[in-house]
Amino acid sequence: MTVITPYIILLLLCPLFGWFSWYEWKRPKKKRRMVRLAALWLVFAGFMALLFPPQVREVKPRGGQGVLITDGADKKMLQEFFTTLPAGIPTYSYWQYRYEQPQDVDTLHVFGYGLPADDWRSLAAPVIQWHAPASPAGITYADWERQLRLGDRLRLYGHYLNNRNKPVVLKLVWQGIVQDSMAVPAGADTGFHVSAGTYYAGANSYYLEAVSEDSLLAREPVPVQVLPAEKLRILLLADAPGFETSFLVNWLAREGYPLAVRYKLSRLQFSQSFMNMEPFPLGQPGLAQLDKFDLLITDPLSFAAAGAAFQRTVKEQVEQGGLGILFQADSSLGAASWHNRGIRLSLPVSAQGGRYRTIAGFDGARVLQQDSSGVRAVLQRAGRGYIVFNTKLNSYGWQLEGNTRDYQRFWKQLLEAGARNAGEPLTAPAEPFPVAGEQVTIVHRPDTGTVVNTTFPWVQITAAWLSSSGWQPGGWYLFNPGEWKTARAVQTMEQSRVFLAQYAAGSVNRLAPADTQEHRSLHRAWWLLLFFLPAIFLWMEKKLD
Amino acid sequence: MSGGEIIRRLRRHWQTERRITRLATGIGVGLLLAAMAKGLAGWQDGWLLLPVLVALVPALYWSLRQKTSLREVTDHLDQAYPLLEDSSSLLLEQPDAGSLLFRLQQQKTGSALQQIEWPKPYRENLLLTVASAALAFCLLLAVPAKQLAGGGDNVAAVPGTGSATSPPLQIAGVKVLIQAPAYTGLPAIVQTQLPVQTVQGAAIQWTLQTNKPVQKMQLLFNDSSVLVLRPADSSFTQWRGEKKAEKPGFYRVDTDGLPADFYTIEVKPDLPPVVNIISPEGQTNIEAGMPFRVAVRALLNDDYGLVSARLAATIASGSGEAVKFRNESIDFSSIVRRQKRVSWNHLLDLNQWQLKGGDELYFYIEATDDRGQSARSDVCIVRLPDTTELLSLDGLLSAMDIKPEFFRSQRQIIIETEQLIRDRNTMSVEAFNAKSNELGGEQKLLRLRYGKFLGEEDETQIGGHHDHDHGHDDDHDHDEDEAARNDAADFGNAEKILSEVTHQHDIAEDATFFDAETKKQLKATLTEMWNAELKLRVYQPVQALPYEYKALRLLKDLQQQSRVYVAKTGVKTTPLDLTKRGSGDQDKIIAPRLGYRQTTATTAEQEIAAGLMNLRSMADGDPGDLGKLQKAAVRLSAAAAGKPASLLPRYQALLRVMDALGKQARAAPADLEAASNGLAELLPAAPGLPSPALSPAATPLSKEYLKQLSAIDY
Repeated sequence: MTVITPYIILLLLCPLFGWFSWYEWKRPKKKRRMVRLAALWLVFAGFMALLFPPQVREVKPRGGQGVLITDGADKKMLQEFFTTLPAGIPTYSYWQYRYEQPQDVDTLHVFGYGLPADDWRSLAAPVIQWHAPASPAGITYADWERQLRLGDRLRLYGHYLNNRNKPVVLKLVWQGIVQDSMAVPAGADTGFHVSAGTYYAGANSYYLEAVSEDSLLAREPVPVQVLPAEKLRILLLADAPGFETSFLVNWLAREGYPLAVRYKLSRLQFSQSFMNMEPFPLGQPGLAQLDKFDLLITDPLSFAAAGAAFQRTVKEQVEQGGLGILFQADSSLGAASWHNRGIRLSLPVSAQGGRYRTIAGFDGARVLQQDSSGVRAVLQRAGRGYIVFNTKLNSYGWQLEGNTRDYQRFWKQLLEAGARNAGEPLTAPAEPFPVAGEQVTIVHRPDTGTVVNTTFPWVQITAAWLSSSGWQPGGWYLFNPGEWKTARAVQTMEQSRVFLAQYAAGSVNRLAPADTQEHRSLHRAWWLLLFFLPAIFLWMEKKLD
Repeated sequence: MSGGEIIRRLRRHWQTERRITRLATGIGVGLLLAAMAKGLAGWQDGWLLLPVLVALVPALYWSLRQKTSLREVTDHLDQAYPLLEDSSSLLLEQPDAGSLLFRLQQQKTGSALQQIEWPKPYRENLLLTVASAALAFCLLLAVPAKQLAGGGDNVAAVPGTGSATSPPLQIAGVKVLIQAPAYTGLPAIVQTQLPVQTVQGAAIQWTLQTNKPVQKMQLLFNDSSVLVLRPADSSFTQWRGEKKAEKPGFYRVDTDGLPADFYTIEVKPDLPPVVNIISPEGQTNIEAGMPFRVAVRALLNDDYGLVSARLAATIASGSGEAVKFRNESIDFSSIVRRQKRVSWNHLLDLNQWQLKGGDELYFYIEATDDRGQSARSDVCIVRLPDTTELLSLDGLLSAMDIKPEFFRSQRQIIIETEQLIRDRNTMSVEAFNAKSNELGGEQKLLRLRYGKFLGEEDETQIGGHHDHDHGHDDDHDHDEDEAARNDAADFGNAEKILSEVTHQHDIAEDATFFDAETKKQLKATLTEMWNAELKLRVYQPVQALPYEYKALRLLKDLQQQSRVYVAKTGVKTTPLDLTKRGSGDQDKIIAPRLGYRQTTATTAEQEIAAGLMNLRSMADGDPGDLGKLQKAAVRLSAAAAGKPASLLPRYQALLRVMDALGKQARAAPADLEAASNGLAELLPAAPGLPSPALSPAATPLSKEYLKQLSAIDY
């Protein structure tokens, strides 16, 4: 019988009982008319109740216990636990519990590493007791940049719990070649850091191996998407060539960077050089011309002397377009303006055969280079762009010494910090270790202005369950369930700990426990009485007359 | 022939047949064992007799033990022939031995025996056994010997050398004789494997045997060199060739144009000797009064032994342009000969080389090994300071023209100051002070005289303020002019003020010909003189003495420096067009515009990286690019020559991958992995050059964020 059937019958009976009521109302004998009407409606109610017995809610007593077993459950703990409880305690896996939604479980005992926060929220149990196991040994934490430029170093940071009585050596391996290694002493719970170079652009798979003596304890993949190295487009404006700029220009040109250089020869005459790019008139660069470059290298005095119009153009390009400026500050920063707000140079310091200044004040700026004499380079944000102030103007000394490594490292930091960003829209999973067969939250930041959701406009978030591990079309890596198990277990334990603390404090929303009341019908005899007693009354009352 | 004789003859026949049968059984079993040893273990020639003999000996014993009795014969006859009525044994008895009935029965049986054909119950066994043994012998001949990768002269083929014809062409035997250089003391090695591991300079002789004649056999080496083997026998199945192993690499055996697999040649280099001087230090000064002896301790090492060693010394005597050099040496070859590690201790007596104060000794130790490789230690310098140099006048007297005679004055001032200090207790205070003041005056005069070389013409300046009286008199005595110049009448005289603060010389060299370094040292000398004068003026000659000494030392250093002289050369410049000067006209000047474009050829790293990426994509199921792999293979081949032990298997894996790619087949994952690892080993990490940051240039979110930030009124 469908849900609407009672209402149809009720609709059909209503005119009948309405006619009965009308009949009673119009009956010639007015005595006990109201009582008869009431009895009639009771009969009606009793009739309906007999047809469709109403149900009453009854609170079902709870107090039952259940056991939820998750990954990493300790058998010994479970056995000990079951000895303390009466037999017949139901045991569930997570999905089993979600599917069955057992009503009588009042206290849910959870064994194992626990569950992710979302899974905890979906559990319906008034009281949750988590019997957390000991933290698993091995690589308990690891993180690295999933995307790198060719030439960047892969730096892997992590934590290792060594519960063995022998040291463990962690090796970062690429193509069978050990790139870096670190020893973890016996019984230590310590952080580690290993690094490796990048060798070619494309999907690279490094491996982190844990080896104790000759036995391989773990071999975890470290996937890295290496993007091709790109050349910065640089514009250099200076009043006169100097050693520092000349060495820098030569080095950049040799490395194939597109570079435009303008030196001032006289008030109206400029020397222009175009390295690895097509020449174009480089008088006073406008917005369009500046847009061709990622970084402007100049000195404060040349910049000040370039005029207010040029400064305005540069400001717009920096703040709106993301152009970077690198000021080679040798003597003065010039008048206070938008580009040097908060930056203050020190008095000249004599050391190492020369006189130079350091950066004495750098409010709101980030220090890039520092030596024994003080801060030598800082980075400041200006709208969408960055401004770098550098007072180390004798880096060419490294070149003269043949120390290209330090020279390269110094200028890589300065130029990259200031230059305009050129990354691609990113698609990446939100989880640190997305695993095949489990839910993966894929975050995509498109470069279009499409509003996808209201919580995070311009961010697309997709939940997916992917079956095939390995490199995915978006350029990210899906791990096998057997990979990074320890790190994922520790992560799950941490999530469980946080959730249960919040849960205990009542500051977390989750699925309410299922209704513990049940619907029960009264015995039909009651409805028979309800029907027959008024009916008998009606009959009797008529007979009495 | 009587019945008894027949029975005895039968017994002999049967016994012979049974013995032959047993022997044939043993031989057959032995031949079967030999065939198994040949087929399964690769036994050859004489070794095959061993299993035959092993089986034959018990068979022989068993055969000799076999005895056929007459009773066996008669029993057999009685069972086989009822006609004999179980009475054949009666024939063995004497005819007159029994009764009548006995004789009748004997006669009857004898005549019956005459009538029957002689039975041959063991003939069939004999034939079968002999046939089986013959079959086993045929099997032994037919079964091929097991292929061994170097199992003696008769080992089976090296894989890959055979042709499709039957039987395939194979290298049946390998013998490699490795004779290390005699000085290494290593014994000659004969090996039956083709991969070679030896020391540098070893002579390698290959002797290869084929299973059938070949026309040509040669070894192809990684450096494109070819060793053509010569036939060692008339049947053209044995080939021989020699080569000296100088560097590691790999090679293939080419038999009639069919190259086989790769084999490594690992060569352990003979390293040059290592010489370290433990003592003395790199630079050693022998203080005055100490004996002219130096304890030399050196460690000399070589991997196979040293041949000679010597200490080579160079002695520098004199100074300046008068420096003379001579060479000496100490040979201690007899001590180090044939030694691998020598610690040489020697007390070097410098007197034997007539070293004197001021001389310098440079020495090093040189060692040579059997291969003729020599190595030197670092050079040690031993100095014998000349204690008389400081107070000598030689340098001062032989000065250049610019050194006036009053250079001596500083020394004189020192002597007089020391005398003054010594006389202090015997002099009055006034006299002491007066003498000190007088010496201060002398020091001032000396300072002013030197100041002339710096363009200082005034005692109040040390390289600072300049008096601009352009008379430039030699005496430079302008004290009396000072008062006149400070005349009140000059108050407000702009020219005078300007002349005070500006330098009106039209050249910046301060009218001197000294270079900056000389001027700097002169200035330092003047400073010391000034300090000395100050102390003398305040009657503190003891404190003045260090300054005086320092000034003297600086002067002497200056004297030494002045010996380096470079003549000035004239410079021709383009004549100036004076009509254009100061006009400010730049119209004709064309702003220079320079262009530069860096072009880089494809580097080895790029080719290796391309090959590696190609292999990785093949592992993911993509089709490979044979061209890229070939370029990478060239690089890997070159590297494998240097490190054949580790890289040759990977190079071979790459070749297999290329082979599979050429056949449009799927390469084995193990080969892909091995080849990738081989290329990866050659690939250096990419240099860290500046690149744009990876964060997106401008996302709508960042734009909106900036917009909202800009809207905030701080």
